[in-house]
Amino acid sequence: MTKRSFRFLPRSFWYDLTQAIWQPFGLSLLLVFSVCWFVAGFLYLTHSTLNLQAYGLTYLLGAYSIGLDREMVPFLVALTLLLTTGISFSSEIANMKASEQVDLLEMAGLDTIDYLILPRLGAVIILTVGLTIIGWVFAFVDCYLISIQMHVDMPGFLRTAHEFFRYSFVWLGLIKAAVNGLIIGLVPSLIVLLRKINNSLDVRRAVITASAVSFILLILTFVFFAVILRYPGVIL
Amino acid sequence: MNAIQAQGIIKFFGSQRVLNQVDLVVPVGKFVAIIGPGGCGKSTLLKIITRLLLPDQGRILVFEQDIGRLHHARLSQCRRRMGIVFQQSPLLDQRDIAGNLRLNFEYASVTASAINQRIAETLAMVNLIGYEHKMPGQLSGGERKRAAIACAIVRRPDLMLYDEPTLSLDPHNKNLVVRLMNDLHHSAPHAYSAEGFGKARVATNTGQITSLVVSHDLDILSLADSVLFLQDGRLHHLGKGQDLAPKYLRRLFAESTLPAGKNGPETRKEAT
Repeated sequence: MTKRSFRFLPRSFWYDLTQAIWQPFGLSLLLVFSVCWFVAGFLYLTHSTLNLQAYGLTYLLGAYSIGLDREMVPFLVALTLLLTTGISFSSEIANMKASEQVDLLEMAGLDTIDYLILPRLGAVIILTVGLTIIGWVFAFVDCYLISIQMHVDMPGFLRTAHEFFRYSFVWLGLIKAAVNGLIIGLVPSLIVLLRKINNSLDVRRAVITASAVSFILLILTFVFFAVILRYPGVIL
Repeated sequence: MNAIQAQGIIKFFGSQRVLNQVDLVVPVGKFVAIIGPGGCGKSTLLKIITRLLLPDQGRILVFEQDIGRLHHARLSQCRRRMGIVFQQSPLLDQRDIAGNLRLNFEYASVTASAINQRIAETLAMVNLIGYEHKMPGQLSGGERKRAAIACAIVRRPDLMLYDEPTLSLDPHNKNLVVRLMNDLHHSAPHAYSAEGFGKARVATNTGQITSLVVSHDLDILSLADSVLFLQDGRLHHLGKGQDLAPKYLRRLFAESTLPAGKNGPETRKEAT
């Protein structure tokens, strides 16, 4: 009846991708998490500054801020997205399996990987990279506000920040964010899709397994990036 | 020509043997019903026929193609000739009814207007005109079932599979679904020459739709050319639906086992 064309992606791919970006991680949730990250960074830097002040080393705040940008921002973004988007996608797919919706897709001749996972994967990668950049901006604003509030030696702060900064932090940070997105978008959904799910208990088990495995993989990725690859020119 | 030919199907769930050397032949154009006690493997058999599940042993020929050996593209092609109405009437919650029907054309190289026309025709067939933009959550049980049937028939399949199509429906909706199944089964194959859908489909030998239904509904069973009873993993032929006495079938459902020591099923003639 209908001839299958050489269309690589389903017709609805781009629509599903934009839906996957906005539905689970809507604007309101983005604002809430932005405030949380801002407050967390502010608290961390305030305590660090107080400690540094005790030794008259406030000019080292620049080094702290670089560390915050490099390690904490991607980690917080990855954790946030795993807890929200990653788990919501996996539970959605698990419920679809339990209610025969995945069978319906297969009978409609759709590849479940193309249809269910690829748009979500694309959405999560875009989100992790985008939110990491936003997180960096917040970390910078945090540092700026603290340096004003605590009368930090501004030229010293900028000098140490500049000394510790490498351009490789930016592109490696973006690669790290994309890899995190790959794990969050792919692993939980794939685990759930491959499991046998018939009822709500199976859904719960599958989602717990998916989130636990993804979390472990995220930690291992951070270890891989921080220890094994080592940022060029930086001794950890 | 047979629409379905199952040979020696064995299926285990854990250590439990659900299907035990099941042989099934459904000729093209026939209406076959399978009944049996709950958990005896009826739905499993349907899923094996569509290759949503794989058997542990045996093979299934659908329109003379071994469905277990088909690779992805051929499998999709073969599935396009089948329509299945699942027990839970699944519809994608995040899509409206037209969107659910449109899933069948995600990879099709046809124009959007041709797809929309086909969707409108199909919704008219199941008496859901004007429901294109309703979400599945807004439908009643009967409407949902009809929408699920629309999803199954939107590609105009040669083989219809139904898994408990009238389960938990009120009498009015049940009658609608039974009538729809009857109409679909006896409808002549459509000349699918609508704009963009290419040449007419190759008609089956008899020019009829083949139906295989798992049901305990007496009205549906009365439509069947052949009623089969699945017990202990094996299929037993009971006879033509119209010939079987309702009283006998009700007793069969109640006891969930074939009466021992009888030569054959009780017919309407014997009952009167």
